[in-house]
Amino acid sequence: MRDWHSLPCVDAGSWYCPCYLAELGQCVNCSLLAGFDHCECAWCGSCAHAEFRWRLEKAENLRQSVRSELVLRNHVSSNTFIIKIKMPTWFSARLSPPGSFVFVRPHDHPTHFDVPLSPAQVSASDSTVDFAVQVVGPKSRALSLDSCTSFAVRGAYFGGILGLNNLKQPAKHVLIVAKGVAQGCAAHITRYFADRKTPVTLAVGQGSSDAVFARRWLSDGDARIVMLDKTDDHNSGDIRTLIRSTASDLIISAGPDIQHRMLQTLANEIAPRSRTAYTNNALMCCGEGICGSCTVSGAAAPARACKVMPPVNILRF
Amino acid sequence: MKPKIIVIGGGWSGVAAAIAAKRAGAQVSLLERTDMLLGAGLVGGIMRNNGRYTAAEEAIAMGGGDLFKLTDRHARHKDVDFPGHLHATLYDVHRVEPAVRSLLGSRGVSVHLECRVVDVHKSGPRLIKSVIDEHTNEFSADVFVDATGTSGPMGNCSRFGNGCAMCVQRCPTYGPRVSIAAKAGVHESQATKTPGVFGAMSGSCKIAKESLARSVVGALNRTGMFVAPLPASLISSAKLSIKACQQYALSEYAEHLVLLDTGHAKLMTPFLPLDSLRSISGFQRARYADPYSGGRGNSVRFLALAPRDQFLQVEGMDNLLCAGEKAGTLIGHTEAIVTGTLAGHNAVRKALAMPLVGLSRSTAIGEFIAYTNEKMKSAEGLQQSYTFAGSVFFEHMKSKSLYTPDSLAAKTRVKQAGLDDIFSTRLT
Repeated sequence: MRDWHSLPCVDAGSWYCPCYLAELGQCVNCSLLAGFDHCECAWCGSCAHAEFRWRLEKAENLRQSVRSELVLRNHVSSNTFIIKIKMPTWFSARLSPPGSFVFVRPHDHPTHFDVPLSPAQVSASDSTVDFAVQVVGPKSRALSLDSCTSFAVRGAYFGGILGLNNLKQPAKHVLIVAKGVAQGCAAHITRYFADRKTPVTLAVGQGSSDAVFARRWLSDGDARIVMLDKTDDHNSGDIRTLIRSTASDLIISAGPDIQHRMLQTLANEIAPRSRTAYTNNALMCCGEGICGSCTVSGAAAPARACKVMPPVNILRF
Repeated sequence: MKPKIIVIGGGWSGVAAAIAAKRAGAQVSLLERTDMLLGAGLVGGIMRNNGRYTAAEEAIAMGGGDLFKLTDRHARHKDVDFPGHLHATLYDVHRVEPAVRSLLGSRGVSVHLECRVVDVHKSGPRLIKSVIDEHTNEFSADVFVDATGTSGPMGNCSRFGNGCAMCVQRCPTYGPRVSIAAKAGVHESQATKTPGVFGAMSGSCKIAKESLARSVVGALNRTGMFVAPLPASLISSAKLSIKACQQYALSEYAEHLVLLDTGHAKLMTPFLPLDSLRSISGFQRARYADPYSGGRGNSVRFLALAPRDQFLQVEGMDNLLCAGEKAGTLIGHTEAIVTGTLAGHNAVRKALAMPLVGLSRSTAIGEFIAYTNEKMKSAEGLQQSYTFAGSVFFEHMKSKSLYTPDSLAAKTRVKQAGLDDIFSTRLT
């Protein structure tokens, strides 16, 4: 008999719960939907088992690919570009909370071309969404081509930030450290806090994108923007100073895992009482907890990082 | 150094355990997941009917009568006879919780509300070191009392009942109960109504009195009860078999609408479709107060019973006791209070390495705790529920001449057993 370890699922209680995993007796959150006899879950405010019964034991509200059109494409460096896509209103609205992401591919391509992308800006007025993309392989290359003007967009997914719960609690000051293509995601998070009148310090570096472009989505007063020295690969000295000087109670790393590791270490050392969050860099392919490409260890049991949100204090980058 | 006791679950049994542990001289914390104490006691209200009278008087004689005196003080009606039941006291469900909270405060019990325990840390295979709430706060103690109950959560109500009926447990808001014994690795059992059918449904609904006809409200306020014959089309004896409260599973309750006045109009049936209820004269505008969906279903209980001994120590653990429904398919506030009192008192004895108290079977309470434990060991026993107020145990109680509505006789019996004031004696 396997042991039951309930894991908090980022989709629990959302439009998309219960999902395929419930149908297969593989739910990560609800013991009953995982085939156990007893009732135990990481409570999210609604009961997945009851919902499943209501839906006649079918996962009904599954994510679909939606055809969306290019509004503009803007190359900001030799390897990084921004696309603005017109999307249905209901869909763009679901991308407003930080941590949301979608899979995007050229409309006429198969699903192998799906690229996980986090929004940089969601515009409610015209239902457009901006994404920053760095060309790192064939999938992102296909999105960069001028001939690609129509996309298949699948979502919304919600597990784009590890430590998402930490963003939902009130903060006095937020420090966001962003490098490379993650500047897009960082701009979206900055706007979220600016809308809530929470002071933000946004430290940006060009990273492997070879450009600083986060400012394009921000207005004066949204954040104090600090440029990180581009000649320093790690900027640990700058970041140490910023953690001290801003006295932030929420520290967010948007960038590669090596940056996450450094920031986690510095936060533990300098500001152990602050909360932290990190962009989710696990390799995402299906987003549904099925394919296994994003499996991480460290939680009570191996977990699919697209579904499960382990506490950030046990994360090892 | 005072021993430290943590009671998890703020229903009647947890409150009783906390008071008893405090009276025995411990430092006591009571952790409750919602914003109010008493759990199902917020909508119950029936005390002292049938053998519960004897149990209450025995508990008072044993020095564990604080909560019985409190519910007596907050009674809306005393000495009420209703079908199958004599000399009931009906407490006011709207007034009793603040009074209990005030009593705990005056006794120095540290009450933590909105504190849902979700995990257990152990310091050995048989020892709990601390419990963890959902905000990752850790609470350490020498001995723990599991009074987390057995009803719900929603997954169980969905699986074994008619779904969440939005009852006073308020799982969606505060999160479901988590069993401490199960988290510690103890194998729990579930009651069966018939083989393969698990759990039992709570046996009453509460109707907002304001929604009833004046004549019905007048009768309730005057006499504490209202009984009306049901139209033939609404008589369903099948519903009696799903009731947790078997003392009310009598044919009178299938053929009549029985209401008691506890502040709400307490309707003695697990659920009744609203349109059916409204077809009865005086009920044309009726609406439910608890559960809100009382037309559809009710909470399902008895799904997490801990194995325990006559001292209420959980088998397989050295510093965990249990009380209330955790300790068996026990029904009612009186049953919760007497088991809670014994568990709280024995928790302190355990912490002080003193011999635990087992209540003599010459008392109704002692016989109840021992008898139900024997019955819990068999599949047939798990199909019954147990209460001083009716069904199998009340019959058993009468056959052993343990039922008496005479306070003095109960007091004398306790004294003869050497148990007088045992729960009011300080151990530290």
